[in-house]
Amino acid sequence: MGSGHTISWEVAAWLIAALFAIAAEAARRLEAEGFSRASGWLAFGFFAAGSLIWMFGDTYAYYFGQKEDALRISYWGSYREHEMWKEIVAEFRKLNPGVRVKQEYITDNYDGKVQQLLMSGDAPDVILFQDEPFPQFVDSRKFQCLDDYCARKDDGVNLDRDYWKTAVESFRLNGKVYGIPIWGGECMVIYNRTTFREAGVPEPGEKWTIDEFLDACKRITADTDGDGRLDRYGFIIPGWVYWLPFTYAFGAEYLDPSRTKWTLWGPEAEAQFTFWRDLRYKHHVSPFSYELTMGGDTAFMTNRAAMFISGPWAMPSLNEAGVDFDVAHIPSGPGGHGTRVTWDSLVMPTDSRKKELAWRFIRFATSLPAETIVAKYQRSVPALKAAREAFISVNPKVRTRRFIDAFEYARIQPITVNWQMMNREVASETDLMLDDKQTPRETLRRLAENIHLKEVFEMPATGGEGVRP
Amino acid sequence: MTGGSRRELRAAPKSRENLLGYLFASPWFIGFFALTLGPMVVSFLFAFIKWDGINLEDIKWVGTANYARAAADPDVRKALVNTAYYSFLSVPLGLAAALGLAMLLNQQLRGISFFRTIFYMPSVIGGVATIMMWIWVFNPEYGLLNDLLRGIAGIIAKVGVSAARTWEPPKWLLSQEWAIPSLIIMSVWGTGASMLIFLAALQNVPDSLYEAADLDGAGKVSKFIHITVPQISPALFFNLVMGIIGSFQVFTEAFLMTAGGPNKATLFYVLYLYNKAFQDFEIGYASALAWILFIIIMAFTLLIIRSSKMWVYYAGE
Repeated sequence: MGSGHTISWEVAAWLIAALFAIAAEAARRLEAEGFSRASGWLAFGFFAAGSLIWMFGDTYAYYFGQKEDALRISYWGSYREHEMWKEIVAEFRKLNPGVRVKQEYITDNYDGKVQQLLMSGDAPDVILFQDEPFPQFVDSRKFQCLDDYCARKDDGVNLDRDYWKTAVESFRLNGKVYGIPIWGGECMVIYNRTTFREAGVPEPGEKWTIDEFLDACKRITADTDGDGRLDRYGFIIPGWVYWLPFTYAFGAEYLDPSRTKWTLWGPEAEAQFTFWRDLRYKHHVSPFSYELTMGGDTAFMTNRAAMFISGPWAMPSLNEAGVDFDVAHIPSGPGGHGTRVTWDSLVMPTDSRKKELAWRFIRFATSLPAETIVAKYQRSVPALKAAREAFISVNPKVRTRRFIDAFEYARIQPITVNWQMMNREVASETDLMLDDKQTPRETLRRLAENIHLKEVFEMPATGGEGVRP
Repeated sequence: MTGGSRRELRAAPKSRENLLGYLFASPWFIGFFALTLGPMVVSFLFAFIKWDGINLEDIKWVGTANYARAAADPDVRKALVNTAYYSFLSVPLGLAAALGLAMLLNQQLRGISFFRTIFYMPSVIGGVATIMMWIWVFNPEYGLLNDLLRGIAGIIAKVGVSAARTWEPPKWLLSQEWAIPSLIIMSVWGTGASMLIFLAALQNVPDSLYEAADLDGAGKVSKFIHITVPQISPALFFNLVMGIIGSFQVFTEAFLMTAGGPNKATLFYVLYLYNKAFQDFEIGYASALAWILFIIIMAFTLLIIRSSKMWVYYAGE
């Protein structure tokens, strides 16, 4: 059962039940049968009453009792992020001393739990929400449109002026705003400076190309102890979502701007798949997952892998582990420069009973004082442009400015209401290719002919086996 | 309460006993009706709707469309084939392993309780910890299993079989062909519960039957086939039914170890159902899938129950 006075009721009932049970047992030993029986029944009654309060107290309080007066906010994340939220809430409460805030830190299956809370009409008043499942939830009309709140004169917000463009676009659907962006970040090349030094390879500059990237990978990959097995690899191959920067660099795209038409077809699409696969099978600069004893992170931290693709969320654990690392831009390719950006926002459910208070909190959490706290934790890039310098200046050892510079060429990933399904289908097919079970061309064709994707996207005409993508 | 009614209660101890019985069984009744039967009825109704599981206003009646869609869905076929493959191999293997272990542990030896505890322990230590351990065991490069296989291959190579020199052990969970066999091997790890049931059954086989068979000159195999198997057939029947039901609902291993991969090689039926319900939020379709699975399991269970008349022996009959 939840917090509040009801906990003491159920615990009290169970304690009384325990006392009566002891009394019943004592009376039985003293052969006071009547007293023993009466005490036994009372013990049973109190136990049952406590259990009923425990089971149904919340439901009763929700429908018939006094409504909770605290503002409820929910979020996911690591313990570090939980600490960050505590700081944000503490600052908010300094400005709003009369407001109680209940932090609901959901550590597992966040989307599923939020879904159930929304369905039952018991969702928190402010919900941290990711861009990937966002359209699916907006489609269900459970998120409050925030246009009127943004347009207010006294406590409104000019999103287009004050926040990064892709951040605003991620939560604006059909011209309406449903979430105020709070933080996010792009996929960049995270590289281990020690590994580069040990291999005698110069660190990436402000600009580099895919050829230079491949050259660095080749020079770093080595059998350092001469036992016939590679001990140091240039690059850890990512899954398809983190490979998107390279997809863009080769000039390919999964969906058209309307996100209704499948566009992963043609020589550019084949070239990016080929390069991905070749890193492992032709150039031998990327390990199989099983060649990395404890996964990519450990390989990177122990100088067994020099580069991987990730966002700012990779930095806190690397900083904590004392790894000498830096951030490099995504190398440019025949299709130019591109990377994937992802954002989180704060949303308000339509059936929140504290919309004014929720908006006050959302405005605070996405304003400069709170975004400065976000910047300090380095987990993400603040969505507010004004917090840019705060983010850059926290850790002078790492060129975090590059995350800001990369906004110039960053793109929102091809999210639709069918994102989860698309994610599974593309992952399945590209896994096959990376496992050398099918060629890049076959992978493109199988994706274009995929029955689930066909149901929701307009697919290219593949024209049979002999037709080149 | 009046004195008369108090006397009535005393005069009818049977009904009072019944009342007490229902009272004490009430937690189970509440649990069954509220948490099992209720959701079953609701899911039966959900199977005829289209709903995203978020907004009740979006519920649309679609009739049998979800069942028609399941019939045409290639992933449903794939998931059913994968599940059947897993079930039809893991259940007999599990039964054989459990029976074998039970027979070994049915010996009158010093410290046999220690061995019984050791073999039962994996059933107690379940869940994620065991799964993490098996991920390590199956690691193609550094895993215990492949280290062992490489060692054996090395010995064979020394004997002079040159093919063993270049032989590479399977990639287990990372290989399409070996992913399900890996999970089947892993399933044997949890046979402790079945083993315990077999052990109890073995201990109930009367010694007089074996003594009579010895007098008739029966061998060990003959005694096993003609005495042990018929005598423990109720336990075999129970473990078979539970094994089939459990194996058709296999989920956790694939969810945590392979996420259905590689290339849907371990996409089990319940995992697909979970993806549809809790990733794609297609509650209606997932409910229809759940009822299809219920019918399949029910059919297999009934088949086994009907066939049991031919092979299950009850001493009282």
